[in-house]
Amino acid sequence: MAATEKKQAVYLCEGCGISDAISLDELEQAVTGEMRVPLCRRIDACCGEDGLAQIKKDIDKGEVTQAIIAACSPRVMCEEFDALGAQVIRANLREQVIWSQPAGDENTQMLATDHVRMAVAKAAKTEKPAAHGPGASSMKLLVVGGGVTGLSAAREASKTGADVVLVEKTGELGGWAGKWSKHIPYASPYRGLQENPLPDLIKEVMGDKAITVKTNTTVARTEGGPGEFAVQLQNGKGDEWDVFGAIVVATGWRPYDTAKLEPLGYGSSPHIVTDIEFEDILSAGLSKKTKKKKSLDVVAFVIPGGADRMPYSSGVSDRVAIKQALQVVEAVPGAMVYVIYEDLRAHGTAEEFYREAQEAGVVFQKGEVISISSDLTVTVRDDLLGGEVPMSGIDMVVISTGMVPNSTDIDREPSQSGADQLKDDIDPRVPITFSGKLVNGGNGAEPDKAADDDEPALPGGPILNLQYRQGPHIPILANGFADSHYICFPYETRRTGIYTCGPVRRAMTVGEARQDAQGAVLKAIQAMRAADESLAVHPRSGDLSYPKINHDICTKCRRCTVECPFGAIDEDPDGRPHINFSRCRRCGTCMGACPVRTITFDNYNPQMVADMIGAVEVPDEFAEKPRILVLACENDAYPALDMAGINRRQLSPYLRIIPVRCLGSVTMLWISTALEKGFDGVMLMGCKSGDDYQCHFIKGSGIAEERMSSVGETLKSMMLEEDRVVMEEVSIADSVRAPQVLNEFADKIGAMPPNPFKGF
Amino acid sequence: MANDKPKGGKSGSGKTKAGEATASDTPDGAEDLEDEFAAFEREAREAAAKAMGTMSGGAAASAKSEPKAETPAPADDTASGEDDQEDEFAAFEREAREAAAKAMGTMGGGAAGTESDAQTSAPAGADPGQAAAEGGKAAVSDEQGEAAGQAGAEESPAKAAATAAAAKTVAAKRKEIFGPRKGIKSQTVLVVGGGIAGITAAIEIAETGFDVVLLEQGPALGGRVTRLNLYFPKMCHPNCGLEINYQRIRNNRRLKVMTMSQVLSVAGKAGDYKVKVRTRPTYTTRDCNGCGECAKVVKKKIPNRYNYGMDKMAAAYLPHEHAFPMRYVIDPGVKGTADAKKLEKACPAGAIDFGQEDEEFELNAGAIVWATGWRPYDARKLEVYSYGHSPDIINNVEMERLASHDGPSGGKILRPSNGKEVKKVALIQCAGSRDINHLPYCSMICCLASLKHAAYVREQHGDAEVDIYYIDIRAHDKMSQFYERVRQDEKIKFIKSKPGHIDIGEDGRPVLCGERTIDREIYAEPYDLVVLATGMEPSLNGSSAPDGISRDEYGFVVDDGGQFSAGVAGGPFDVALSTQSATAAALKAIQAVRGGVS
Repeated sequence: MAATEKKQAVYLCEGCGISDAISLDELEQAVTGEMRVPLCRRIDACCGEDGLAQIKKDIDKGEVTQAIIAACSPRVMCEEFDALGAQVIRANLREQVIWSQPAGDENTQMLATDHVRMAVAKAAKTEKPAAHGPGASSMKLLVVGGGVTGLSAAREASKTGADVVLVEKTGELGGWAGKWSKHIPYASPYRGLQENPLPDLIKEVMGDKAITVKTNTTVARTEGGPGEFAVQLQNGKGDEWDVFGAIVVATGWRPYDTAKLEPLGYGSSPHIVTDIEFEDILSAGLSKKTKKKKSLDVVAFVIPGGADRMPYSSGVSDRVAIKQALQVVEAVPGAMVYVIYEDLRAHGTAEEFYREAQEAGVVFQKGEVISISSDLTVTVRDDLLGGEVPMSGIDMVVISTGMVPNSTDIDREPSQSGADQLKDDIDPRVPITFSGKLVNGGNGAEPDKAADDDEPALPGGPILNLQYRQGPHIPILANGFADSHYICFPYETRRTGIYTCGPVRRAMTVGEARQDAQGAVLKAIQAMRAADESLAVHPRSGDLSYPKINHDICTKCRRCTVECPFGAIDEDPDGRPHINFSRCRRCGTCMGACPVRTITFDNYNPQMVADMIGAVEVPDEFAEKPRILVLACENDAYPALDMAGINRRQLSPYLRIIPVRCLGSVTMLWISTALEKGFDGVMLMGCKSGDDYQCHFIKGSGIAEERMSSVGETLKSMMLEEDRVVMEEVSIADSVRAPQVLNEFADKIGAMPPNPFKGF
Repeated sequence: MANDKPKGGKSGSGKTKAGEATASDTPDGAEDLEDEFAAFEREAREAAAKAMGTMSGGAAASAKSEPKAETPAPADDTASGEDDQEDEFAAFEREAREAAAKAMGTMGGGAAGTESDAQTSAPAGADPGQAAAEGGKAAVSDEQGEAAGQAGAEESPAKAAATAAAAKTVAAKRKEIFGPRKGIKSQTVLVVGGGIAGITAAIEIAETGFDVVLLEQGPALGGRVTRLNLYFPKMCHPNCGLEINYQRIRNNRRLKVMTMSQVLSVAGKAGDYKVKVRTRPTYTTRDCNGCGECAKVVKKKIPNRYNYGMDKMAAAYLPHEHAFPMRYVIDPGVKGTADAKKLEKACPAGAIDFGQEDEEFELNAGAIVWATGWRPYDARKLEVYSYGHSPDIINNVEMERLASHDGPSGGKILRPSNGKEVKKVALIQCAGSRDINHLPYCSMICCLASLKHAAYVREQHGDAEVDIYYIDIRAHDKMSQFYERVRQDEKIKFIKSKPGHIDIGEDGRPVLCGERTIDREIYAEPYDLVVLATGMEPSLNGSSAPDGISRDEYGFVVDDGGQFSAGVAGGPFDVALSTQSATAAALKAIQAVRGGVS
């Protein structure tokens, strides 16, 4: 498709005050003159009906294959211009020129001209992307885990028409929730003990022809990517291979280590049990015999303050305590039941369940439990009386535990034969590593310490045993929970096509887990379809462009395979990078990583941006018009600057702003090109990095920051001031701050002597 | 593309050079990056340029061939296989599209008519993708084999067989998942409400391959969250995720957004709903390009809804700086006044049309997702808290605006009464929630929101004190760490008490009166600013909600097989849970328009 000859035209928009603020006559002359674009039209309003028709006519006649529209920001009027049929290249003359510069000024004119120059240079190096192929080989879903989440996921996928293989490592389905006699209510009227839904759910799954259930089965290894995961399943009898389009991980949870409850008194008496152990007692039935053996006339449920024992609270255990208290009240007439808590987390509609328990006579007492003695005396700190109050005469104490996510398989040895063969040098707990160097601590881990050798290894082996260059594990966050880290996008993991749901992702109840399974299945089906059509998934959904590597130039330096935030790039036996396209999210981090610039996208590549930088006209050193390159993340910094324009906040006229897919895609070539060209300063503007990263590609800004750390030395060697090249983190809400930051930088650069490379 | 190999060989000299350039190759990239940066700049660039040259010759072809360069044969199979399967799928696609087109045709009544074409056309990227996707199945197993080899594993015949078997069924399977069934009149999903939940449900459905109409009653998307300053616990900005969603919407032709639109009635059943919609005028046409000249000339001022009426704005307005769609709105009060003439004259795009009227039309949908969200519980109903009697008593959503850079005070948290610094702030939990006389349920977000508000105040005012009056701090799951972090601040005090009432002191400051639960201490404490953590009430409550929606005793929507809830329309959720429920709703809606349970 690249064979078709490019025919460019520049359309200068006269609308929105553009023709008042700058001279379009001059601009038109520049386009047809120095820029050598044969066709340049001035259009009343490009986005108007007539304007669109005019452009479309040129395209339909075959006179134009690339329409360079010099008008508003690329963030608006997308649908209108996309419908034209040609490749559209935008020059942002409105938000980032006339709305942020004084009208009629010489500098404003220069800025506008540079914007068009950059767009023309971009056009020369961009192609309308064509999809890679082939697409998927499977639309079948693998669900790992046969508890309530996995069973729900399997059933939901089947209801949507997908075939499912459900694997469960134990011999039976149902998981923890299957064992419980009664459940928490999670639908209107939000009160009343619920029958266990698992028997029915299991029956549904077993009777579903689209679902193949494999118990006593684990995943031995997983290769490939969305649409083509080749998975080796293993049971006692042997192995088999199957191919899946996507994977839902619903491996659930395990109880918190009871040893950590021993300081509180657990273990000192058989009548001090955890809530999980108490479920067994409840399931056995509170028969007379049980009652005789362990009298349940006075029962105390203790919800310990979480922070010192578990770094998070499940919130689920509070509701479990309410449920169990109600079960005792119902089964043992006249029983005294206490729930001792610090904060009772019966959030949302669970308040109604809490109310029900209060009405039923359960006594809820706020207080910090200090100790539980072997004679079942519970000592509570009482602020009213200013001391410690012992509660005695209790027959049984039930301590709430917590839910620990099964993000690894603790029954499996940490080191698997398959994993050994991988260059397993990446710690899945640490989200922000690359080049073997730690930039930020993983969540929950101490910054700069997380990769220390003395950090205990993850317990257990990998669940999927991914045959990925970045290791066999599903990446995890603080406290072992699997992705996502995003509030807005709860299913976006760092392993495309693999979606986690249920308590492995976040502590949750049965009702919540069933809903979570639906969400994960939706994403899985979506990923299969995207893989089938060779489209990118979130956040660049629908993008057809993909990274291409010229292996003849590749030096096998491995930076791309290590830095890819999604583990999309493996290495072949010769050490060459192998991109798994259906895993790739198109952020361009590999492109930024590549020291020989041999990773390119059809419509985004090192040379394209370098040429855009090169197209800027840099006045000589006597003109006192510095030039500053701004490489701005198109997801946050660039919109923030657009919004500054919408508010008519003024920007320094010396800035030349180029949007980038992610700061992770910024290659050093662009900085060196700018400095050689005579730019006086360079600023990278990206998103927040660190534990609470806001980068949509996980770690782009963190990577950029690290890459930039070497620039200072280089600048020194070029006899340039180190602070000519800087990086700033901004958010999309910084429509006030971002222009301030840029203007201050421009002032600072203006105060420096001009870049001596000007004019060379 | 077979020529690529020798060509690659030729450029070997370039390759060697570049290779040596980075031969130092330490795992720590920083140092050699810099070496290469300084010394090999030109060389590497030349090499890259050369590479680009060869790439651009046949970019698509070379890359496509790359994985199977050693097995040219399957490429031919691919081509022939492609046609057959393509036809089959194309037929099915056409069928689906026609069905959708029929469904949308009924929309033609009003505003939607002209645009319904865009809606029913195929997704932009799908078709070219399809062609590539359909082909090359035979090649897959080779590629898989190669992948296995790369991972250092033994070539497994079992695996190759599995892959080949999977490849055979893929087209049929796709049809089964995405094809319509009998009895389904419309495969379009209607999503009502353009907040974070509605946006999420709509875009997730559209990206899975189904047509969606997203209705929003206001002039722009974003709902409640776009008016928040930051999300807890990450303290990140809501517009960050919204921007990504807007990008997704811009790039998806299956999703059609209709603002200023409200559902009047719903008739029919799952698979075949007829929905009556009313669209109110903005008095601007689609020629409005957002230039803002109208706002400069209009005299009339109206309360700024974006800021919950805490300040005023021009009656011709962009809803806010991140408004999507970016189009101005003229307040109906301008029509027929002197301002109207001025506006018409001032608009350079001729985009003002006071002839616009309410338009009503009917559209067909196979499923409906209610993502109508919530409103803050009316604090005036909590009479004892004197909301409305002092500007220094505000609710939690107003606090978000005070803290926002584009809020009424430019992000400075000051006393609304006099613009002075706040030194002492009270945050009152459960203002309305957990109260059988008001909202019987816990609204879930308020505790965390108040913790966040305490953080806002403390960040701006180094010596301000914040007292949080609470019943329980319900910092669920991962949030408890955020709670712990806030608790570390000695200037933030947690007082277990539900204040009895708020008086206005002689100096005009609000005075909180009540009893502490723990030590039974009676207090009467003056504050500069009191923030009521009002709960979330479902928007459909007390409104003219259409009949036929199943709802529970609180007014939350209950799924019924064809109509589903997303976000707070279905229960008191925070944003993470709302997006989770919206994604689940997307699946349920797709199941409904597929034609039900197999």
